[in-house]
Amino acid sequence: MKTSRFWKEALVATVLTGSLCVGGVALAAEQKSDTLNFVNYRDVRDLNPHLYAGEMYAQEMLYETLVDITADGYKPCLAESWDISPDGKVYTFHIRKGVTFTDGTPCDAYAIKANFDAILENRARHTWLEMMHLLEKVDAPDAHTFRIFMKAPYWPMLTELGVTRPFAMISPAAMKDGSTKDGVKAYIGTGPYKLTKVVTDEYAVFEANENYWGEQPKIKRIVVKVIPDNQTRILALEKGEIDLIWGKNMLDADALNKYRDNKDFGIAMSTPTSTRHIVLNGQNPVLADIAVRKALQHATNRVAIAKGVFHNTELPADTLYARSVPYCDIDLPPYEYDMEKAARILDEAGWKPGSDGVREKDGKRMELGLLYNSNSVTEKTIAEYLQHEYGKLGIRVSLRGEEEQSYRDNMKNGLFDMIFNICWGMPYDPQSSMAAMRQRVYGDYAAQLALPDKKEIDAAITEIMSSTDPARRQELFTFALTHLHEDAIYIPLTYETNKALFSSRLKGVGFTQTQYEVPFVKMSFEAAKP
Amino acid sequence: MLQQLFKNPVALLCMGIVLLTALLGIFAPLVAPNDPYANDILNKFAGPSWQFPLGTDQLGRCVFSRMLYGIRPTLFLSLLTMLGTIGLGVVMGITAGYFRGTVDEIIMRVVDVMLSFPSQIIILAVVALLGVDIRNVVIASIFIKWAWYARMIRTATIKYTNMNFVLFSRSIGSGNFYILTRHMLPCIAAELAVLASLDTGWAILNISTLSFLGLGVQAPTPEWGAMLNEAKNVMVSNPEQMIVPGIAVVVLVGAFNMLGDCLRDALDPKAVRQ
Amino acid sequence: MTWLEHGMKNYIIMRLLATIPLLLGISFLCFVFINLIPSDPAEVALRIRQTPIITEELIAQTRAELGLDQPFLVRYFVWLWDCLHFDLGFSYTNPARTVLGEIGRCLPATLELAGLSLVYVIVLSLPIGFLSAVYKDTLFDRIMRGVVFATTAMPVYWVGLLLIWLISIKCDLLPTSGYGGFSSLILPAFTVALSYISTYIRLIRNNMLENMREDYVLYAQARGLKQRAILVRHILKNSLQSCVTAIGMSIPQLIAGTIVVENVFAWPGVGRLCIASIFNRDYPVIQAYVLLVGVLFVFFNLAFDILQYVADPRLRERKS
Repeated sequence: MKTSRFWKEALVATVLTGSLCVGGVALAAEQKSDTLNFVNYRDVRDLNPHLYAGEMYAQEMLYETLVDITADGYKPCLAESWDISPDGKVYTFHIRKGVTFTDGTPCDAYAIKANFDAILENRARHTWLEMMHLLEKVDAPDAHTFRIFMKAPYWPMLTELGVTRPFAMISPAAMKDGSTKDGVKAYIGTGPYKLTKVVTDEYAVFEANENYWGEQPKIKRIVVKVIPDNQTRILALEKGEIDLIWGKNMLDADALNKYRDNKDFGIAMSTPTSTRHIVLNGQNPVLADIAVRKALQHATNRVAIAKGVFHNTELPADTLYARSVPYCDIDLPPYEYDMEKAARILDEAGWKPGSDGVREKDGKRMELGLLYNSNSVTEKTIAEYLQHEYGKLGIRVSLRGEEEQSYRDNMKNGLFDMIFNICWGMPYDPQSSMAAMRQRVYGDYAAQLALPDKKEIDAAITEIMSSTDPARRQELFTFALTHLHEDAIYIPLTYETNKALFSSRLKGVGFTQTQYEVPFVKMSFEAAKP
Repeated sequence: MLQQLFKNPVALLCMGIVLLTALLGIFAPLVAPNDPYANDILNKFAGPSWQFPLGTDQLGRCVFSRMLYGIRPTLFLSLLTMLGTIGLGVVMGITAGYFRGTVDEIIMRVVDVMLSFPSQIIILAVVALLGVDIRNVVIASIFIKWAWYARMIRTATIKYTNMNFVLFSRSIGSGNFYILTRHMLPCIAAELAVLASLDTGWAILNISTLSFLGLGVQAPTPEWGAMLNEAKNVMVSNPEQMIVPGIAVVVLVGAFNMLGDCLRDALDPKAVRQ
Repeated sequence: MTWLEHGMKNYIIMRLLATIPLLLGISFLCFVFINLIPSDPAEVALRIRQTPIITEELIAQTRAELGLDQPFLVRYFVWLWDCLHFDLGFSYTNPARTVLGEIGRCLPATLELAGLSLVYVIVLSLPIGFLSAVYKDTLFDRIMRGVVFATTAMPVYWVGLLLIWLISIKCDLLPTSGYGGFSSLILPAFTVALSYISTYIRLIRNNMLENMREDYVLYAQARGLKQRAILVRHILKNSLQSCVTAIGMSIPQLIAGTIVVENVFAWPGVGRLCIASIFNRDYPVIQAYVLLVGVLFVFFNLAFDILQYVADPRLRERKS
């Protein structure tokens, strides 16, 4: 009697909970077929194309530049064609007719001039691009002609104009009184997609730009979800919540390996894009000793890292830039993996093991910090591996992981002993990334500051920038890169690749020359099954 | 009380588990088949074998050896936390309860403020302030937990202060310190033991949780919570990695909790009859 | 009934006044906290403004500008005044965002999570605790005691991981993690609730058992009331009162308890914000979070204390 009443109550409670669950499941199953669900590890943030705080893939979707950089060289984009004066100082761009921003503002030469004015107003922020030092003025004599006047000829000019930021064009109507350095009113570009909704740290929605001047993208709607955790991303893909994971640090090799022979998912891997390496800070009292740096080089088993961590999806790197990078096909003797040699170098340099096994010299203990980006899926594993390897040599390494932004701040300000870094990749390598070594842009400046040959290297890089003779440039690149290699300030690890894992319904997943651009325009869904 | 405890098979089992774990932790270098730090990146996620009884982790390190070495931070730091907590709590509680007046007022107001935050929050704040490190987690845990003990011990002290033997001791001219250490402490020791063994379970969970969040024990030091954090990163491809450390935490914490319950029953026979 | 009789009014006023020093203490602690951090706030402010070259002069100037050269207590009251106006400053890592904005953005998700957990706690622990007490020492009670014991020993994050693995990966029933509709709320809320459920099952069970021994039960039995009626109308009703108070007071605990779960399930709430801020050393956000939880704690304690006082005549007599 009384029992039945109680059990009834219990039953109600159970049914209630159960029905809540079922309701939830029904909600989750819903899905649309004309929408591509993409994923990124963080929010799109500030997509002002003239600053650097936004996600580049999103900026590539929204905005365009004067020229495009492709595997076959420069291609017209917002400029239909261009002429360069014989002395290399005046660039005349013939602007494509009939292009409008998504707010209806025409993208003519005047709009482009307004963009350049806004960029030049904040010139100091962009001096990592060498052309900023050489640019004299810009003008727009008519609606379809835009000119750039230089103080001196500059050979990587078109490359720098083709990079996403800061030379992407935003609608002048979105600027604040013609200025962009303190933010913009809206993210309005001419690109194949427009941004329609952002929920901070949750998702962003892009929809196809119906008035796009180029080929219409087949995928009309892209939802980019924010999922910071690697495993969660893969689970979301497996469950169909997202269709594509794309990027350099978005997938670990073990997960990729798991889906290798799975017909429900496709895998794509790009050719090497840039070099994953560790920067040693030459200002650190221990690392100031070149013997220590060389010993670290010899103690790094790149082959094991490539195989163990990456299942050879990334190949071991011997030099800062791959030989396939322009001007970098130089014979440099690699630092082969040889623990005994590393130990010998340290012994000879006077670094003797102390009572606790940690080497020391003149009261300096060999204790170094290794800073990694905690948003990267593999850096921690490599860090832990190296920590043990270097430990065998009597070098105590402590690890610290920080989120991307604060990791970059530390790198820029030289607040590190050893730090993971990645070359800028095409099209920045080697000229732009090396030009930036001369200033406090990335970790390179702080790391190299204490090198005895820093002045010569900088002088060589400076000369490269203005040299019009390719042979001389090669000579100078060889000089600078050889010195950097011999200074052993960079420990190259592997050649990084862009990796993609996607639902097999999705076709056309690939990579472009610019490693940050996700080529959504080329993607499409397989015809929906009935 | 102790006799009764030793007759209880459950209590014996719990003490056995705790003792065995402690011994394994102390003698980890002798018991562990491998160096817990030795990695072999080419042999990652290996299955169980004679050489690696519980297989290997994402760097090819021996999971079994790491479990054994992981006892050290998990168990010993929890005990250290409890020692610090009790020490501070006893000093503050007895001081407040015995001297009363302004001292009591000040201490108890501080205790009130401390108790008005959930303990997790204070620990996070202290760790945020002092930096991510296991030492700071221990400091933070002591910092938040002492207030509970201070309050409890104060109440007990007030209760005992008016008991005849204390009044007698005072009347024959015993000093404050003598009364506190000889009379008060033994009186509250039993209650302390119950609370402490229950809280050791809490401390273990706390340390492993913070390590799991990446705020406690740092790589490469083996710790169960940190191991689970690493297991989380390979949950899809190698879910088996999260089994062993999790079970170990449950068993150890369970043992302490059960022990606390048994102690309480032994202390208060009335409760058992109820 | 004169609802607010004299003694009650006095009690409530006293209780309200007593929270003022407590709130001051909490806010002072939070203020001390931000002042103990190793980095110079003036320098941080300059970095936030993206000043390219930071000189000593500039730092001194900024110090004066921010009022950092004022005495400690003056700064505390200025800060407190700002807090009362909901001005909690800017995030260090993301200067485009205000701290209040960040908390406001993340708080709803946490409240949703804590809210559903509360529902779970009530829906599950009440019947189970009740039945455990009624069927004391039967198989059901033993099993439930076993479950309660096991759940108190289980680390919350591990439970979360196991649930993700079992429910989301193996059985593919619910989303694994992240924020997206009700279905994604079920698992994290259950994980948060689990440890509280066991606490309350035990609480309700013990409370019921205690009440069963009270004289009024005997009296009711003597009057010939049916056992069921006694259980429901008297014992349950009496036990519920203290349980509801206990549950109410644990709401802030529940909110704070979401930290771990939010990190396991990638739930975009204040807990995850707090952990991320710790890693990024974004002190103003941490400070605001600590302040928020502290104030919530005081508030809920106060509210349910008064509620209990109003609801329970016995207590009223004792206290006045």
